[in-house]
Amino acid sequence: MSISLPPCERWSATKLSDRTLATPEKRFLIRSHLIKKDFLFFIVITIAALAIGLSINFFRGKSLPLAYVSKEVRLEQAVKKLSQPSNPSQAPGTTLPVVLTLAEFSDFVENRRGIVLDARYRIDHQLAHVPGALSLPRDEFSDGYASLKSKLQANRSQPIAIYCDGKDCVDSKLVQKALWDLGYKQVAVFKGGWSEWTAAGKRKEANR
Amino acid sequence: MDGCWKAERGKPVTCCRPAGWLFFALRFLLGGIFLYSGILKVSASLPFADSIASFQVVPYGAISLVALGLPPLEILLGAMLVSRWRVREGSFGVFLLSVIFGLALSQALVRGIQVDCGCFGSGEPSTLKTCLAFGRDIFLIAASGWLYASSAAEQEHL
Repeated sequence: MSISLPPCERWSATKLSDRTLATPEKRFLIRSHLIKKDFLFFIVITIAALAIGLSINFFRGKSLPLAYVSKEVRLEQAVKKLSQPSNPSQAPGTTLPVVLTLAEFSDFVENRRGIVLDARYRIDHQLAHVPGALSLPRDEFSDGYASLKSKLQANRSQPIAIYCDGKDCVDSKLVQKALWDLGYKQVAVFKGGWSEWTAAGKRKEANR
Repeated sequence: MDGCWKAERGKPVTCCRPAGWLFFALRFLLGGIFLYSGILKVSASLPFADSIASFQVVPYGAISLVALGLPPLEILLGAMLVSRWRVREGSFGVFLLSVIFGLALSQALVRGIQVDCGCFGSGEPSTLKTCLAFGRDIFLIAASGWLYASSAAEQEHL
């Protein structure tokens, strides 16, 4: 008498019989063959992905140079391109510290004591930033500086405060150094950055 | 095949295998994660190259190539998992990439380097983020390993 099993039971029975038929050696051979095949496929797809990536980069407006240059060196190169015989802008008797605390930076922003610069990526700046902050991304320093040059030079006597993501990011310090090299001496960094500003529940602003 | 063995009459029997649902969910989850992270990085090669450089393992001459090749690779692997086309090969690729990434993160943690993992766009490097990325990577290794083992076992029985 045959018993009619539900589909799942039939599956289990089939699988069990398969297992008993395949010897461990045979299964090992099948597995190693599969791994070899998959590894080869992975290499092929990696080459295809690299070709796609290189093609996208070739046709993109701002392509990534194939010889990577570190962000510090990129900024130095940008500053070198921009620098003219510097005319230090330090106002006599100024006391702006090199690093600002949250309280000092809040006071700087709220009382509009100078220019606030955002060294984060432009997209982050567009999403939200400290009220009144202007975007000068470390990554697009030459373009950013060119667009802000008139504002910065018109306010040469005013101090500048820069911030980036948080206490561990180096972008604000790199932009500070770049501005020092360009002759702006009253440049301070808000060490806590955007993360401390938002954690403190301070006011934010987004680009219109 | 989503781990769904065919019954004798050719009907899928996912109802009998809870693993079939797990396979389906993991396939979509991993595929989605890889598609999303790949798409984010394709348009931001330079920040991604900076993230790779922060690990201090890839030679300078190869950073740009990795930054350009890895995002399309992630998109291809993610698409393979989501579309069910060559799931076994796709999960093998995801497993390999996750293991390589895990090794890179481990060496950064051991050397005390603060890295920006660059997984979902670039940001501020921190030890906490590195640890979170490490935890996420362990999940990716486990999930893709299981997907691969399931697909390979299915293949063995064909």
